[in-house]
Amino acid sequence: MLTRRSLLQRRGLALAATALPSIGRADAQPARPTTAGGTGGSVMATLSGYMSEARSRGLPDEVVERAKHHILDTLAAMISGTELLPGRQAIKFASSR
Amino acid sequence: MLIDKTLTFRSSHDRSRMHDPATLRERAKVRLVADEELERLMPRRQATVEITLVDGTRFSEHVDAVRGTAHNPMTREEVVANARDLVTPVLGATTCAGLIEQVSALESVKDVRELRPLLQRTSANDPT
Repeated sequence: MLTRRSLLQRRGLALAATALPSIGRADAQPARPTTAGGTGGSVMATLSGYMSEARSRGLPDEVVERAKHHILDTLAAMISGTELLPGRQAIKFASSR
Repeated sequence: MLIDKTLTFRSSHDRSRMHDPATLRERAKVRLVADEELERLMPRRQATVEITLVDGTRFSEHVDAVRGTAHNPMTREEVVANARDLVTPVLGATTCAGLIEQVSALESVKDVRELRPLLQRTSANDPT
């Protein structure tokens, strides 16, 4: 049986699929709080659909690549920092516990 | 940078080189000038570099985003080269290469603990 909630989700998913590319565009309409069923309602459905789908949706390749850059850069900074005074002190403190 | 033709993490933290006559000779040619107009753009850090050669020729370059920030991102090759520069002196070339390889294929790493041996100096990978 279709509940109101699942109906909204389905509607949200369908909307999300078509509306996503415009998210973040400068000319995109800002979300305005209006009565249910108006423009605000459909924006909410789009947003909800986008959020609920996020769990299973893969990350864009560009985001994956950029995330790896940041992770590698962070690890490299941490490792190089172990040889500076604050890093040495922190390691000394941690190993004394 | 002028002497080594590159800048490494190690050389920029090397106190003895800060007093090295060769370094001081180059340093005497550099003047740091505060600019209120650039200051107003903070937190965006911008800089203008002007070079005057002995024969009077002038070069000028304005940088409106620091390399490696969101507005001027590094390529993967640059990020990897930077990581290699930072990690190799601490963990050695082999461990460093392993770390770069694992992070580059991070989605296929089954257990994040696999990274653990690649992050710490041991008697086996100690380059010093």
